[in-house]
Order: sequence, then structure tokens, then C-alpha cells
Amino acid sequence: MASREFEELLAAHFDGSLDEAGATKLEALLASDEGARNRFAQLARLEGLLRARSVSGGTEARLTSRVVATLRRAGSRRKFVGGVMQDLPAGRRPRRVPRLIAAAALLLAALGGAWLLMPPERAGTVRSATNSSMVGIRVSYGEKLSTATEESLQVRLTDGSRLDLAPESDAEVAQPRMIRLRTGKLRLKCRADRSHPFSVLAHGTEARAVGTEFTVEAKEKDRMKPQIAVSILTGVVLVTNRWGHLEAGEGKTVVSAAGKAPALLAEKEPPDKQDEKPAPRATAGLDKIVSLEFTATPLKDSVNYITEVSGRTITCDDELAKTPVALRLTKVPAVVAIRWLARLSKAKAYELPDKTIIITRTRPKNGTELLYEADESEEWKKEIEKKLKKKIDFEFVETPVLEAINFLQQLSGVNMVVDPAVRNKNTPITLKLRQMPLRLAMSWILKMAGCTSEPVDHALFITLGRNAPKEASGAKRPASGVITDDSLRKALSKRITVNFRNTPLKECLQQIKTLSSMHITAGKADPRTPITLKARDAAVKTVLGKVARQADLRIVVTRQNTVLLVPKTSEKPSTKPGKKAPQEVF
Amino acid sequence: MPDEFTPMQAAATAARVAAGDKEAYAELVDTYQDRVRALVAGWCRSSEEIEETCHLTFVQAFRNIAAFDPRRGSFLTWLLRIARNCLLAEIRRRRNEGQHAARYLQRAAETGIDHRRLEAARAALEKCLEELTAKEQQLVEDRYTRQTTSEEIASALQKTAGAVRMNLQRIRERLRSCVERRLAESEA
Repeated sequence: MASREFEELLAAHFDGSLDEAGATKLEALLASDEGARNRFAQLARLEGLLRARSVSGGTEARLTSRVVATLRRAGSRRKFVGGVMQDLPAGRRPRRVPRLIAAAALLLAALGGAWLLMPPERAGTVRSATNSSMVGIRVSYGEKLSTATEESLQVRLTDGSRLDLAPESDAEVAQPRMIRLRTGKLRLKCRADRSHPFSVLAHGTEARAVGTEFTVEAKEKDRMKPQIAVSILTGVVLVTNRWGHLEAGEGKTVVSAAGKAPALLAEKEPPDKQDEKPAPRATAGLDKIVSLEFTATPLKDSVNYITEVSGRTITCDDELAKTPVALRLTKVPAVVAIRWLARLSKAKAYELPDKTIIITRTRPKNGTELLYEADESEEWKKEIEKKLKKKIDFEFVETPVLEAINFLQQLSGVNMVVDPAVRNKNTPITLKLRQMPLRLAMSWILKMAGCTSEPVDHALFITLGRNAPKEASGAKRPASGVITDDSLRKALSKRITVNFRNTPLKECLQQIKTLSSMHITAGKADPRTPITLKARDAAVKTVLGKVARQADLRIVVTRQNTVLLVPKTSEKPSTKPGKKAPQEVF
Repeated sequence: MPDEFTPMQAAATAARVAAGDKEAYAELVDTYQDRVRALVAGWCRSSEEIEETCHLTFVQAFRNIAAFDPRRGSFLTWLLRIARNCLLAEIRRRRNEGQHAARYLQRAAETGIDHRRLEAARAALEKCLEELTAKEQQLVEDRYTRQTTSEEIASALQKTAGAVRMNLQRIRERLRSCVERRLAESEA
């Protein structure tokens, strides 16, 4: 791999000046050439060492104090600071706040006084854009904010205005009362200040307001002609571009595109207002889609969180209040989250006549147990199936199984709920897999940890297997259909090279027998059946399988470890009473 | 640079942290951040990304410090494994965000991040740097210690930025083969 092009791509990459076209080329090169990948990895290690050896003492001190500050903050953080991160020792990146958690904070804010729950940020704190944006934290101008897919962000600006950034958005607080939206969508509730109108700039369009609430969305269907949509939720906003301006009031949406003056969109409720329509009474709040992460969070705090998100009153028994719950779910209906909380606390969820939901172990009087039935629909199962087909690479070395599951959950987006019994055991596993479907990878991991999984209620439920190996137990009973004899297994895995060209079956088997030192019999098969097969360094098992397929035979192994080839149509070899039937191996 | 910990001291400090002594964690961060930084820096595009990944690593390690078992390996190995996982997760996140660099980085990173030989490579690099010519050493100094861009170096040397980039790449290549040779020798 010494092509000039590759060298230039590497030079540009390590210089930080590789453009998108170069990145595509480099990606293709790395995908097709293992040597190139290895060399790239070695160069990356070298680059890391070179960069790290010249880091200043100031940078080191900053990192230490930042880590310590995060840990301190986490220790004193209470509910609704970062939503579900409330009891984490700041292990999650604070900037990235799941969308619905931010939405929950919004709801609180709408009810009033929510900001009082937020701890004040220390004045003068210098924070980079990448660590600053938790729910309710103030950001000052000059900071850049961005969100990834399925993440949103809610921040307070220094003037007291509130900014919500939708998923996949990029914005910058350009000045104290000015936001620059590069991509995506934001919602702004700005504090009234007649002398300093608030501006949002997006691709040459300015939305200006004194004190009002509105959303701005940069739609980039055509990169050359971005379209800006400003939806006014309250108050009045002046939308300006170089071709004109338009003032619009509550409930209106103004569209601004290149070459045209801003114009009103056909009468329609702003999208955010539509989102705020209450759900039908029967399931109000319960079908709200939520995402959450609890790590050993007391059940009481967990249900409080779901109460905030769903708007439904949920409580739990006092005796269960302190039960620690570890649960991570993404995009599930609130009712599913409630059921999981109940299951993990070994309790049930009931709905009382006053619509309060209670998680308890004893059925309350007049309580209807309507929340305990798992969702048996096929849709979510299909969704999980689809995600489990994704091929993945990983290497775990003595990694606790929980960490491995967590990693795969993040990688695949499949909700995985771990039985507390598995948590207590947390077996370390060592496993390296490449390009293996997640389903198989999971089965390996679970097998190694003595666990099983099954789809339950929008998630894969991981629990200790019924046949989980017990420490110091006796010999394991093998599952049926599995070859148990080590010597036979070894013989079947032996690598051989054969070259048959219209060779009679009998002769082929004779050769395989000689090469593998196994006892192979053709049974009732026609010994003259011609076989054509070329196999180089292939397992005996594979070769036999191919031979059998050509001769329309199937292979069975008798208890005497004899490999028997019998016609597919024939009955299984007869067995005498008291003797076990032979195993079919292929 | 803080004093080096012996594996025993590191394990003892980790045990103190696990018992609730958060301040002791600062000592571990001080001591090991250069190793973590060295592991992640080659896979990050900006210093913000490097610092963010280092920060995440140490926070993640703190969260899981109770799971650290000195009988299974040193604290450094354990920490670097966490750093590797954090780095992979970061690259994946950046790829999902649409950063084009993260796509090819992920190709190489999944199998290429080698945290086990980092210490040996670090020692080998110091010797390999001494083998460079004075001019080459100057260029490395400019690029990495002074953090001068290729364009700035080019204008100072009255060359094109492309020529400087290729020159730097040749130096990296020399260092790479030198480090790999020394690693192979030490392993043999």
C-alpha cells in the first residue's frame, strides 16, 4: 500500500485538511485493504503519542479540574438536573440530553417555576461548547451547541431566554441576544427587552423579536437553497431576508427562501403547537414516547421522572420506594416504562379510579390491573429483529457482561433490560468478533455469561438461563443434536484437501476416511454415484456435507461414533430397544 | 509531570476512590491522563475532541471504579480499555452526526486501537525521534510542540503547504516503521 494517492490522503488526514471527497476515497481504501487499515492504525497511534508528548501542563491541569468538578457536581446533583442523570456520577456526557428528557423539562417550565429546580451555574465559569449544555444550564455567547440524532438540548442564555435545540441541529450563541442557526431547528422563548430585540439568523434570514416564543427551522432539502421556517407560538416576530420582510403574529408560520421575500405559510397550526395537543383521555400520557436511563435509581425517583414526562400521576408503595432500579429504554411508550419499573421491582402496576397509577406488590382495593400485560404486538418485535441483523465488530477482554450489553445496546439501539440477577453476577467475558450479526454476537455473549434473552415488551429481556452453568457443578448435559465426543468433534474439524472429478462415491469416502482417520460408511447409498468436488484445506465436516449433498444423502453419527451416509428418503437407521437413536449432525 | 504510580499504588488509590474518596481520583487523573490522551489523540480531529474523550474516559472510569480488580491487570490497562471503548463510542457518535472523517476512522478504529502496546510504543518513539535529522526534528517540534499549521510552516520556509504536508507524512512514516521495528525487536 504505497500508492501516492494513499500517502496524500494520509498526509491530509493527519494535517486535518482532508475534504469530504478525500474522506470518501480514504474510507474506500481502508475498507478494501487490511494492510492499509493496519498502517493507518499504527500512524494514528504514532500521531497520538506525538500530540500527547507536547501537551502543556495547563491542559493537563484543566482536565483534572474538569473531571473533579464534574464528579463534585454529580455528587450534589438532585432531581431534574440533566433529567435521568440525576444519580449518575456524571458518567454521561452532560451536553447530550435525550430529546424527551428535555421535553419533560419544557413541560415543567410551562407549568412555571421549573427553572427554580435548576442549580445556578457559577458566574464566570468557562466552559467549552462540548460540555456545557445540560438542561437549564446557562450558556454565554461564543458557545457552539449541537445535537446528534435522537438528542435535543435545552439551555438558558445569559439574558434569561430559553433555547431548545432539536435533534441534528447546530447553532451558535453569536452575541448576547443573537443566535446563529446553521442546521436543524430551535425553539426560543426570549426574555422581553425592548431596547435589545432578540435575533435568530439562519442562512441569510433574520427572525427578530422583542419578547416572544417562536421556532426557527433551517430546512436543507437543497443545499444551495435552504428554506427557513419561523413558527410563532406567542407574540410577534419580524422575519427579514435580503428580498423583503414580514411581521407575523401568534399561530403563523413564515417561510423564507432565497430569491423570495418572506411569506406566510398556508393557515396551519405551528408544528410545535400540534405536538402539544393533549392525547385522548383514555390513554393520556401513557402512550407518550419516552427515553430514560436509570442506574440504581430509587424506584420513587424513577416514577417521579415518568410522572414528569408523561403528565400522569404515578406513585409507588413506601416499601418499594428505595428499591434501586437499573433500566435504560429508548423511545418506548410511557406505559411500557411503567411496566418495566414494576417488573424490575417484582411488583405490578395498577390504575386507581382517580387515574393515579401505583406500583405495588399488593393489589389495592378498586385497583384495575391494566398495566401489567406486556405489549404482544408484532411491530416492535420486527423492529428489534431488524436491528439484530446489523453486523458488528468488537473485542471484549475480561469485560463485565453488563458493560458488554451496554455497549451493544448503544451500538444497536435495541432496548435491553437486564435482570437484577444478571447484574449481581456480572460475569466477565473475553470475546472478539468481526462482522457478525448482532443476534449471533448476543447469543455468544449470553452463552458465555450463562444468560438467555427473550423479547418482552419492547425490549430484549436478559436473564440468567434456566440451564445456566452452576459453579462447581457436575458434567453438563449436552443439548440434543450436538456432537459430544471430543475426539469425533476433533476429527470432523480436521482440515483436508481433496480433488474429486466424477469420482465414485465409494472411492471418495475411502479417501476421506484415510485422510480423516474416521470410520465412514455409505450405508444403502449407491457407491457409484459420481462426485465432483475440489476442496482445499477444508474441514472434514464440510467436505462430507458437500459429498452428501451431491449424492442426495444425509449424514448421521451413530453412538459408536461411526459416520453414516444414508439416503435422505430412507428412515433413520433402526435401533434396538434400549439403545439410543443416532444423532443427525448436518 | 506527577510522580509515577507503581501498579500497587495505583490499585490502592483506586480502592480509596471506590471507598468514596473523590479527591484521590484527581491523583489518578493527573498521573494517567497523558497515557489516555496518547491513546485517543491520534483518532481525534481537534483538541476539543481529545479533551472531551479524555474527560469521558475518566468520568466513565470513576463510575465503574468499583469493578476494577487488580488481580486481573493493572489500573492503567483497565483505564486504557475504558478509553478505547469511549473512543470507539465517540467515533460512532461522530459518524452518526454525519462527520465524514468519522466514517473512515471507524473502519480502522474497530480493530486498530491497540491499547496494550501503548507504553512500549511510547518508549520506542522517544528513541526513534533521536534518529531523525535536525531538520526533521525541527519540523516535528514546529508541528506538534508549537502547534504550527502546515500553511504557517510553509510560508516560513517558502514552500507550498502541500510540500510541508508530504514532508511531515514522510517523517511520520519513518517514525512509524522505526517504532514498529523496535516493538517487534522487544517482543522477540
